[in-house]
Amino acid sequence: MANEAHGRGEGAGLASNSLELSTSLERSVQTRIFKIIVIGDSNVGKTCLTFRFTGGSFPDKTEATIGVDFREKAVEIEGERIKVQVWDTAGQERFRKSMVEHYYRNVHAVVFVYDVTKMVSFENLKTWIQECNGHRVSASVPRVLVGNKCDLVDQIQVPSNMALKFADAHNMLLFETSAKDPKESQNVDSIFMCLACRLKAQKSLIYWNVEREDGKVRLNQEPDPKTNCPC
Amino acid sequence: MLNLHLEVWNDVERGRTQSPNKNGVLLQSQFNKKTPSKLHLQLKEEEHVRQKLAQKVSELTSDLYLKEAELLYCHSQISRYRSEALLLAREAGSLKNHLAEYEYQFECQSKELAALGLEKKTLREELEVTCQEKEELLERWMEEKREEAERINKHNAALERWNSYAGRLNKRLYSRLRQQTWPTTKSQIIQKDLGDQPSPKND
Ligand SMILES: Nc1nc2c(ncn2[C@@H]2O[C@H](COP(=O)(O)OP(=O)(O)OP(=O)(O)O)[C@@H](O)[C@H]2O)c(=O)[nH]1
Ligand SMILES: [Mg+2]
Repeated sequence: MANEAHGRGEGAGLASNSLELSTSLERSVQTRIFKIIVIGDSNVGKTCLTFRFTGGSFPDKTEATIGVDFREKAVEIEGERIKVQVWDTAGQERFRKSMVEHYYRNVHAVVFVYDVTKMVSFENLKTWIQECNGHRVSASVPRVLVGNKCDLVDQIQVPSNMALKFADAHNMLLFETSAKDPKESQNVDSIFMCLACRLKAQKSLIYWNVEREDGKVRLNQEPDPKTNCPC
Repeated sequence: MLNLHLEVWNDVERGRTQSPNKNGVLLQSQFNKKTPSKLHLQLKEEEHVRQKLAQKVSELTSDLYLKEAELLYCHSQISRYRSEALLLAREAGSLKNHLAEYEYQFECQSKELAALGLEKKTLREELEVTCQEKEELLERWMEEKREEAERINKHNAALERWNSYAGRLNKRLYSRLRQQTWPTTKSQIIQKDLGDQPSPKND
């Protein structure tokens, strides 16, 4: 009886210890990071696009990116807080040499950018895709195509249908947008949010929702009702 | 002269034969007195010389007029040239002054040029050094970026590993908790496979 009591007491103690351990483990699980790289010719507006997404505005003045610039934005998707880590890469060869390996390491998604007012930047996409494939980026890594500078309507050189055909051929989603036009801001956000949603769906982690009611532990995976996934 | 003599002779002969006029008489009488033909010839000669001289005089007079006119013209020219020369001399003087001024300026500018050349040389050297420094700085910046990228990649990988590890531990913990007899606990454990977490693919 005493033993039983002792045993029950020991069991309860173990359970409470486990609960504490579990809570601290939960706390230690950190916000997931999705690494998204932005690739494309120099001057297509990669820096402006990433700045628009992370900073919410269009930079007054930009210099050519040297090596890479890191930008981060925390978003909430289906109740989970996720850090979107955007790698704004350099478009100029001399500023990206010896960096390329690092760009593609453990990348979760790739954004290919071209300038809708410069046909050559669209033609060069083939080279960028080749480079990406050359770095053993898995086919499961989502890729999107972004045509930037749509605000320059009278200078457009790359027709939408041509871009769409290209995107289809390479199994990519196409976004035509403008980092400059404030009205397009949501569209820019949706590029990254869409990727984040896709990544979340792909790499779904347990959504730990722990409820405690006088020693009762309830673990469930019900998604948060408010979701801001644009897809 | 021979022609003149012949002419005079012929005149004398003609007077002897046909002219009964007073002159002829006189001539004849003169001739008759002392070698008239010779005198006549002399007269004629002198007459001729006189005529020639008269002509010469008139020629010389007209020449003189001409020369006088020319002289006048020359005088006017001289005065014109003189005033021109004066003007030119004055101009030459001022040009000389200008030249001296320009020479001075040239000298100053030469010196300035030399100084500027020197400055340019030093600036070029400085530029070279700055370019070199810029290149080095760029290289360092790239190196920094490379290291930062490496650090972030490592951090991302560590974070993924840690999350995966913590998840696995939690899973194990809850499966153990489930095994415990816990009459008051209504546990509902729904877990997805933690293997689905993002994991380093390209490492
Ligand atoms: N009109 C217009 N101009 C844009 C837009 N996005 C970028 N620009 C301009 O395009 C130029 C280049 O933009 P960046 O973002 O620096 O280009 P980048 O692709 O980062 O270039 P690199 O760093 O050299 O690879 C800048 O002058 C921007 O102002 C846009 O949507 N519309
Ligand atoms: Mg840039």
